Amino acid sequence: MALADTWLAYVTHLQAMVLFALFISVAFALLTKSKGSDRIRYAFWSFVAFIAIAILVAWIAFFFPR
Amino acid sequence: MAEPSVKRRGKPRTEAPENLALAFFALVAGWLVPGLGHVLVRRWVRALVFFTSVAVMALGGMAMKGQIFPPSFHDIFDLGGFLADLGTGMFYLGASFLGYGAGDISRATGDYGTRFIAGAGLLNLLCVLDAFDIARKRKA
Repeated sequence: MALADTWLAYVTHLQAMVLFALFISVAFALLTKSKGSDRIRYAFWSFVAFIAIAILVAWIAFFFPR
Repeated sequence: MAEPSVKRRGKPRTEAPENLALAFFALVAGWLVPGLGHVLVRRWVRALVFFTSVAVMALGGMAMKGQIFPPSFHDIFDLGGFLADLGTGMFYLGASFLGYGAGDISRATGDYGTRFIAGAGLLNLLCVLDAFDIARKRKA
């Protein structure tokens, strides 16, 4: 199966960002925390921060198109 | 009389680092196959999660028609891209061998894919250092 045939070839910017944030957050949680509950909390807040900051920056950039 | 307290920074120099050979083997194996370094130090969950994360991001980046940077030393950005992509280990080598990673700048997903592949490589480098530290008993 060619890689280009998958749905990933047609993702939107938001979908790509969510996917990126999800995997990076989970990996960072495992890298930085040793307890299970700490990992879940870190992954969750890291994911939320990724999305929230990206949307915030996008809205700021919206007012400065060029 | 109480003994004078001795302040020490880190481990004493006389203590040999444990499993140095394993640490370097985990370093190379973890780079080549993401997660394998953690398998060698018996961290199964981390190994599985790191392999999945790096694999999905690297293969996903290629599926998005992201660009894989060839070895280049002319431009600092090309060099940075090459080093980041090289971090994915077998995915970089496999993609280079199979001819993936030409990149497609006509579509926005190509740009996302380029970032995904670079992100996967940098993430794998962090994972490799984590496995190295675990093997050297610097980290639990």
